[in-house]
Order: sequence, then structure tokens, then C-alpha cells
Amino acid sequence: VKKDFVHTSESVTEGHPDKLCDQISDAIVDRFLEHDFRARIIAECAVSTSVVFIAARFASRAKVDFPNVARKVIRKIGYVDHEFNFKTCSILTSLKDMTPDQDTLFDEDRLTDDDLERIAPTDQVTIFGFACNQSPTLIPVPIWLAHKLARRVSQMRLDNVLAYLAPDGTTQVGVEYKDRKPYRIHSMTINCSQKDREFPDMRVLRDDIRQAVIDAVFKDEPVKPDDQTRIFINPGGPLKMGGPSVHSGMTGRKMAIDTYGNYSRNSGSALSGKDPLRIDRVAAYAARYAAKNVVAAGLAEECEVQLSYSIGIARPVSIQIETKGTGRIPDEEITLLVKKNFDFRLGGIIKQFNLRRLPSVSQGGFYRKLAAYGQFGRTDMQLPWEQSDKSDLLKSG
Amino acid sequence: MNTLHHWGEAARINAFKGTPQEVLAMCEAQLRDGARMPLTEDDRDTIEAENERMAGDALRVLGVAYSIQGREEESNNGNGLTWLGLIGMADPIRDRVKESIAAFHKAGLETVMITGDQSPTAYAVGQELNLSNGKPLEILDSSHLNQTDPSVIKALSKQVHVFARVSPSHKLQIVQALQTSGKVVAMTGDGINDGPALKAADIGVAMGRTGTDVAREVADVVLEGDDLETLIIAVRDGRTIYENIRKALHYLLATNFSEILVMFVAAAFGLGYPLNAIQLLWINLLSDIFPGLALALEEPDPDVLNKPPRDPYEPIVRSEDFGRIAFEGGAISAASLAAYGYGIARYGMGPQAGTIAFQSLTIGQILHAFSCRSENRSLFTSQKMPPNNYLNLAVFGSLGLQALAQLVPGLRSLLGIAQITALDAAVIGGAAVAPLLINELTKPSAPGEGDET
Repeated sequence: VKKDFVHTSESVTEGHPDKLCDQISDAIVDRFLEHDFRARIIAECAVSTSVVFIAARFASRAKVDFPNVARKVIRKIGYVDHEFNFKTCSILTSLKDMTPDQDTLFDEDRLTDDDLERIAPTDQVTIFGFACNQSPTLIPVPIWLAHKLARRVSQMRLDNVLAYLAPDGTTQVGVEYKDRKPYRIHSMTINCSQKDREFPDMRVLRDDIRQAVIDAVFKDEPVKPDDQTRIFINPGGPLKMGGPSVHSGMTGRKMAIDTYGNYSRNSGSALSGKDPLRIDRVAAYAARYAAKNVVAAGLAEECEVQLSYSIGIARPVSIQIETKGTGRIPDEEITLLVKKNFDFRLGGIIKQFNLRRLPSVSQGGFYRKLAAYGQFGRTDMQLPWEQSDKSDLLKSG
Repeated sequence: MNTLHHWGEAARINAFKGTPQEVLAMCEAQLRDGARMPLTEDDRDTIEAENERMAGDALRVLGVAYSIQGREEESNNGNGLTWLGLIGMADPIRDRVKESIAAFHKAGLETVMITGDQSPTAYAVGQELNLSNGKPLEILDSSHLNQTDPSVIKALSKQVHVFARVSPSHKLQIVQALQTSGKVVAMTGDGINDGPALKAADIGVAMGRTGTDVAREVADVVLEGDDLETLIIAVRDGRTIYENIRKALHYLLATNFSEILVMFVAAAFGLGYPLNAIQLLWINLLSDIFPGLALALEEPDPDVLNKPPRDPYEPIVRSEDFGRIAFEGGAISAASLAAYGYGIARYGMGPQAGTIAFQSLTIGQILHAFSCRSENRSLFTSQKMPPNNYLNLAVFGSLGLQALAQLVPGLRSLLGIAQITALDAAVIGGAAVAPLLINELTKPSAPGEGDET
């Protein structure tokens, strides 16, 4: 196991084209589930210059105005009076209405445990979940910091503190580890776009970002940038506008940002744009839930849960736990504890997290909000898979 | 759109209608049970959901709102309106339009709908009509097409089935985009603002009954009964006329080539001139006019509406057709020359041998008209062509005239024909029918025909 290394994770603001697409895809999922919790929906999105492409297959009695959903997302993000904006962009929808599969028209809340056993995935996948004690929400510190910086950049724009900023931005944080512990900030890059190429001057922008973003973000962080930390702010010069008019985007291209910043393994399939009956989406939540509880219970300093599913079998065909030598008890024992205390069946995951009804009970959508700034280790949303409520069970286990 | 009306003594009411989302965005209050109430986010959500539901039922939905203002005030451009409600209007799809669309698809014509309606309405209508022919329905939703790069519209126009929320002024842009992507565009329209697009389209089709004068004037085609089905008939007839011209042309080229070949080969091999000038004139009079005209009056091929349209850049006689024409003409010539050879062997060079060649060639040519009825179907294929009585009349009439030429002494001497024996007649018969059989047996079958069982 490597001990001393630098790990860099990236995050983007909600105005980044890839994230814009993820949010549109998930806003469509939200809209369907709000009106019909049994809806099946796969929504994929791409954006380039002034055209948004949405390809969707769905089986639902709900009727959804796809372009309107997309335009609302684009407006909310802040593309209002830009070259690319919610009013004037063209939206191409490729829609396929499917007949619902009778097997999926169940109501998990009314199912018995035996019924849940019969709901099986239709995909063969291996899914990972991870947690470590490097940050308050138990995600790796590079992605934790990258998200925090990206959020702060966006906040400064929305609060009109740095009103000259445009919605598109990226942040990267490289953390130096010693003995597998975050030791110092090695380097950091912030790219933010501005509405006007000439305003402000690069020097002003760099000062503003340093004070309003970097200093504020690291105020209560245990590991802070030092004199040696390499800090780059718009290293390529001013970025005018950014967003889809400059670079294109697609759903599912920011997997590392959605998960753990490449610190642990992650499955290659996208999370956004899929209804909760897709095992490749919801198993990632269940795996995280288990991993987080293992770390919260103090059984290990870091924990990766690996779940493998096969078509037609409700339970994972394999559950693996990897603690990279940080476990207080052997990995096999942790595996047994996890198997005993967690429900990894497709129907069980949907039921325990209430995944099909969350959009209708959450204000302003659920999956859309989840689609930016990571789907794990959030502080701004009450996510069912972020609870540490099973750690006591594991401790006593 | 908004209008101003008097409202009591000192005020005016500003009435708005339009796309529900756009009108809703201008509202800050709503009228409910006669009282003006705030419009919450939840209310907006409910209204939007209701709009989606109505539009999903293929209704055309409008939002309405108003504001009260002083008499002297300028019309405000729509801030702080009071929401009144949604209006859903059914604009039922006319009878048989669905069938017409299916017929268009079968005939290889793609259909595109341009509408000012919002996407869900357009989706419902597009599904109902099966505009996408079973594939995912692609809808381009854009109220600002003019701000999209023309090359992007060109690329998109190739796959889009529905253009939604399009303002009439963008129809021209869409037609031009389709044209630059290499398509031949026919557009139907009836409004004044359809004029430019109807004019730009390769075939502008105006509705005769509901259409405006402008639309009718610029259109190439006016549908008298406003019935799309008529277009299918027009397409069928148009394709048939073109095919018939090709058949006639094919026939004329093949038969005339056979004459040239007979004269040329005989002369080249020192066999004299089988036909004299008056016989050649007679052949042209007989074979070219009546069967050629009758071929131009063929009934539509039963398959004419199951085939894709022809490539507009394709010449009327394709290069592979020339090969086929040469082969058919060659077969007729070879048979006539063989008969001529028999005549020379039996009677020596002279009018007797020439008569045998003349009769073989003329009858062979007249019978060739049957072969030219179809490029792919021969006398031996199971699927028969619809009968063409004009052709039967022309062929048997011409054969009758040819018989008269042989039998009437005055005509015979005019044409320089000798009398023939029964054996000569049998040889002539064989030489006339053989090329027909050869040409029918070697006819290429239609692409894909072999797959059918």
C-alpha cells in the first residue's frame, strides 16, 4: 500500500456544461417521479453552442415538457443574458415512449420482505462505495476541498459579491499525503469565467478569488495552503463567458466529481439521468451507506465496499470490503458485519432510502440538486445514504 | 400578444395571452374565486403540471393574464400581471391525415411538422400521426432559430420530425436548411406568412379552401379539397408519367438502334441493303408512333408508391440503361439478320430476302413494346402488370397494318415487297418472337425482389 503521494481531485461549478447536462437529466428524472413514482426514465443530455440535445426513453403516465424542464434548469444556473441562454437556446428532444414492464409497477412501501427478494436487477455491474476519515463528511479531502472551492466560487457569483463571474468554473486541489494522512496542500487551480473579457483585470480577479474564495474556504480547514503551495488562478488568462458557447458538455462525464475524486474506484456508468430502478445508480448509494457506517463506527480509517450484481438475482453475488490495512478488525469480519446489517437488494435499497418518492417530498427537486457538487459527503442535503445510523449496530456487532 | 380595453371611467385593462410559461413568468399574482392572491412557487408548479397534462392530450394551450392601468398610461410590456388561467383548445387531426402520412412514408417521403405549439402538444400530435415512422420522435424546440448557426440547423434538419414553438418567419429558414442538406422539399401552407417558404420550397402546396390568396398565388400546387390524400395521387401520377416517358424512350431507342444495326451489319458484310428507304419510313411510322404513344399511357405500376423517390440528379436514361437498350436492339437485329440470311440462302440477294428481313424486323419491333412495359417484370414473372388496352390496340393494330402491307397488292408494290411462302412466314414469325423471349428471359429482376416469397 502506497503511503506518501500527491492526489489531485477536481470539481466544477453548476454552470459547467457537463454538470449542466447532468442537472437537466436529473431534473427530468425528478419531474417524472414527482408525478408518477413508478415512472421508468433514462434521460441523456448533451450541449454544444446554442443547442441542447435530450435523448430520453420513458414509460410513465406522467407527461413531461422536456424543453421546459431544461430551460428552467438553465435559467436557475444563471445562463440568462449570455450568448447561450435559457430563452434562445434550441432544444432537440429525441423521445421514445416505452410500454411499462409490469414487473416494475410495484409500490415498494407495500411490499413484504419476500416480495422485495423477487425484485432483481436487469444489469450486470460491479459498484463501489467509499468512506474515509479525512473530512467531516467522511469523503477524501481532495474532493472535499475541490467541492468546497467550487461551491464558494458559485456562491460569490450568486450573492453578487463577485458579480462579474459567469456560471462556468473548475477547481482542482492536489493534496500531499504522508503515511496515508493528508499532510499539506501541494497545489491548487481555480478556473473561473467572467462575463466581460476586459473586466476585471486579471490581477484584481486573482486577488478577489484568493480573498473571497481560497482564504474563506480554508479558514476552518486543518490542512491549509502554505508558502510552498502552488496556486493557479485562471492560468490560461481570462476566460470570457465559458459555458456551452465555449465548450460542449454531456451527461455522465463527471463520474469522479459525482463520487470520490478518483481517490477510490468508481464504476464507469453515470449516476445522473436514471430512475431508481437502475441498479448501477442506487447500488452506489447503498455501497456508500455501508462504507460510511463502517468508518463512522471506527472499524477502519478508510473503507471501500464493492458490490457485484448479476441479472435476475436480487442480492449482490459478491460483497467485498477493502480497508487498505486501516481496519481494526480483519476485512472478512467487517464483510460479515456489513452483510448482516445492510440490505443491498434493489427493492430494499429503493425502499429504505425512499428513492422513488424523494422528488415529490423534496422542495425544488431532489436528483437535480444531487447532480452538482457530488452525490456523496454533502452538507447541504439530508441524504439517506449519508446517515451514520448503523454505526452503533456495527460497533456492537 | 396583448390588447388594451376600456375599463370603467379612468382605467384600461391590458389583456395578455400566449405560451403558458411565458405569460406565467410575467405574473406575480393570480385571480382565484374573484380575489387577487399571491402566486406562490407551488401554484406555478401546479399550473405548469396542468399545462403539461393538457398539452400531453394534444391540446393547444394558452395562458391568459391581465393588468389594470390608468387611462393615460402607455401599455406596459407585461410586468406584474395577474394570472387568470389556462385555455386548452382541441384542434383535431383531420380524418385520414394519419393514413396519408403512412402512405408518404411508404413512398419514401419524409414528413416534417412545423408548428408554433409547445413541445408536449407537438409530441402528442407527432405520436398520433406516427411522424417518426416508429423511430424515436425528434423534436427541435426553438423560438429563436435565427440565432442558431445555419450549419447546425442544416445538420439537425436531416433528422428532426417536428419543429416546435417556431415562429412563422422561421419556416423559410427551415425549408432552406432542408434544401441545402440535399433534399427536395414540398411544403404545405395556408397563411400569409407561409408565402416566402412556399415560394422557396421546390413544391409549394397551398390549401385551396382555407388558404389565403397570397399562399395560393405563390404555390406551385393548390389542393382543391384541402386534402393531403390528393398529394399521394399527385405523387403517384407524377412518378407514373416519368416512368412512362422512360419506357417510351427506352422503346424508341432500342427499336431505332435495331434498324441501324441491321442496315449497317448487312452493308458491312457485303449483303446489300435489306431494307429500302420507303420500308424504313414505314417501320418508323408503324412501330414508333402507336406502341410508343401507348407506352406513355401505361397504368401506374402497383409498386410505384412503395419505392423511394428517384434521385433528382439522375439522367432520364441512365448509363446502365444504354447497355440494356443496346442488348435488346442487338437481339432484334440478330434475329432479323438471321431471317435475312435464310432469305439470301434460299432466294439470293433481292426483294424476296429483303421482304423476310423487313417483316421480321417490323414485327419484332412491334412486339418489343411488350418487353418495354416494365424494367423488372417480364412476361414470365408471377406479378402481372395492370392491363394497358391502348398498348394492345396499338400492337395489334400495327400488326394488322403490317399484314395489310403484305396482303394488299398496291401497298406491296409501293413498299417493294415480294410475296412469301408459308415457310418464309414461319421463319419471320420465329425471328420476330425470338428476341422478345430472349429479352424477357434476360431481364434483370428488381433489387430485393428475389427476397420476396
